[in-house]
This record gives sequence, C-alpha cells and structure tokens, in this order.
Amino acid sequence: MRPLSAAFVLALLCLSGCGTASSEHDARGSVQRFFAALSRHDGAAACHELSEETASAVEEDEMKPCGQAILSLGLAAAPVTDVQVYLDSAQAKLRGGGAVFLDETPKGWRIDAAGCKPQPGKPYDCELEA
Amino acid sequence: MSARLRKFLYENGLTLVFLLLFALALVGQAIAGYHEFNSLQVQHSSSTISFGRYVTSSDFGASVMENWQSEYLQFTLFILLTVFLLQRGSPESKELGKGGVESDQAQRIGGHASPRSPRWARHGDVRTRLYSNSLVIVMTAIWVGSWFAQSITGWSEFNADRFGHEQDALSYGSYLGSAHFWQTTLQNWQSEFLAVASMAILAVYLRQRGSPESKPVGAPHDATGVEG
Repeated sequence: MRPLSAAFVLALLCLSGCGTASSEHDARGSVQRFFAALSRHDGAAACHELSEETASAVEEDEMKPCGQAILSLGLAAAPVTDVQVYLDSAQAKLRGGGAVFLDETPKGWRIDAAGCKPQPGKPYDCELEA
Repeated sequence: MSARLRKFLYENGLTLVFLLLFALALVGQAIAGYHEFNSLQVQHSSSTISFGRYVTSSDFGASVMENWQSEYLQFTLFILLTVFLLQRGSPESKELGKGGVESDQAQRIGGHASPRSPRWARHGDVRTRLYSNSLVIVMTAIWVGSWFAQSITGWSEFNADRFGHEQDALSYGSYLGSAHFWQTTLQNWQSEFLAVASMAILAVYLRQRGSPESKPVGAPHDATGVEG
C-alpha cells in the first residue's frame, strides 16, 4: 500500500473510530454549563442540558417539573478532568472520581446520566439517569 | 461496443462480474444498514445521521471489515496450506506426492525460467523468492489490514455501547482480549473454514460440468489435482 493510501485509510479509521476534538469540546461544554446552572440554582438551564429521556425520568421520579426536580437531587458540581467520545456517546470524568455520560442528540450533546459514582466491577451508580 | 472493449470484457469477465456484484452488495448493505441504524437511533431518542456519516461510521466499518478479514484469511490459508496439504480426489488439491514448494524446474524460476516468465521469476535471487510468495504476502497484508480496521471500528462501537450503560471505556489493548472482539472474529472464521473444508471434500464426489473448480464429470473419484 502506498503511503498516501495508508494515510487515507488511517484518516478514515480515525474519522469513524476516534472522538474528534470538536465533539470532546462540545460534550465538555454541556457538562460545564450543567454544573454552572446547578451552582446558580438555575434548574431550567440545568434541564436544558439533559436528554429528553433523562429530563422525563427526573420529573417522574421527583414528581415535580424538571427545573425544580433537578435542584432537589443535590448534585455536586465538579471540574471536568477528561472527556472521551466514541461515536455518539461520551463520558466526562470529574475530579473526585465521578462521571457524567452524554449522548449526541439532534440538539447537540445532552446529559444522559449524572451524579455517577464508580463501583468496582459494576457500572457506575448514577443519581440521575434515564 | 467496439471490438477492443468486447475483447476486454470477454477476457476479464470473471473479475469484472465479481467486482460489480461486490459493489452492488456493498451499496445495498450501506443503504439497508443506514435505515436500520437510524431506526434504532429514533427508538433510543438519539440523533439520526446522514448517509455520508453512516458510511464512514464505525457501525458500517465494523460490519464490512469483519467480513473482509475473514474472507482474506480464508483465501490466504487456502493458498498457503494447499502448498503442503493434499486431499485425495479433490480438484482443489495437487496430485498426491507433489506436496511442498516443488523444484525450481517445476516452478520455472531462475535458470529454468522462459523468456516469457515474469522478470522477477528469472533473477533467481531474493526478488525471485519474494515474487514466489507475492500472492500470499499481499493477501496476508489485506487480511491483517482489514482485521486491524475491524478491531478499531469494533473498539469504538463497543466503547460507545459501554458509555450507554454507564461503564468506563476499555483501552484498545483490553478490547483485543475481550470476548466481544473474539466473538465477532471467530463467528466469521468458523464459517469460512467450513466452506473450504466442504469445497475440498464435496468436489471429490460431486461435479459441476465446465467449472475449473470441479473435475470433469466422468473423472474417477480418486483422480486428484484434475480440473475440468
């Protein structure tokens, strides 16, 4: 295979297999806006960063509108230390070991699960999920 | 149609028809896969994607590469193992007693080459050794390349699924040792190996008139290395 062809195949593989810097930036932005909204007790803005399924789930669980329900969960804001993107799914790792999971929706990156704590040998235990 | 084009089509019909079938099947797979992918996205309230994005996605890449690598492995092994292994009565085998790489004279290389032999067959040095194995080298390279591509696209798909289930991503090295990677690999390998074994043994007793993959219809069952 000529070097140019090899480079093309690698670029194609990366296009399909790797998270792009733009996606990582956008996913990180969604998490940061979510935590900023929680910090200023702006439930509506925090709910804007949730996926439709997750927003519905929190409303059902707390039996309140999303804007009020999200604030009653007591989710703690934390700085994002790393973001990984695979296809239309992303994970933002937080200082302290927690994580937020996101999906790419027609409206952009939206949070699917938050307040997630690691459990050895098991999926994360998330306070907020669909 | 010009006489030259007709001659070209006649002399390359086998390759051209298979390339056409390949292209049609690949386009069909892309269209069907695109609709299935977006249908699942809608079911999961996720974003649908364009056709262009789908054909460069890991989802499409993994399904194409899984099959490519196993096909190229099948033919690479078939070419290599039929050098040494024989099957009595099979047209896919060399005659009994002729297993191995054979003499330079039989292979018409070096001093035994004819003026019409490929140039690298005439040299008798490293170039001839390389050319003597060029088919397996290229087939192996395509197999390894497509297997690598399968691993990358499969890894990406696998980790996206893990994120969907609130799990950490696996490193590439861990994915190569995962059950998912080996399940998707071996499910393709087993069918290819069965197909070759079936072909080798069925062709001992069954015939297809006119096919070079079969013995002549009237050839005895124990006639080995005879093509019809």
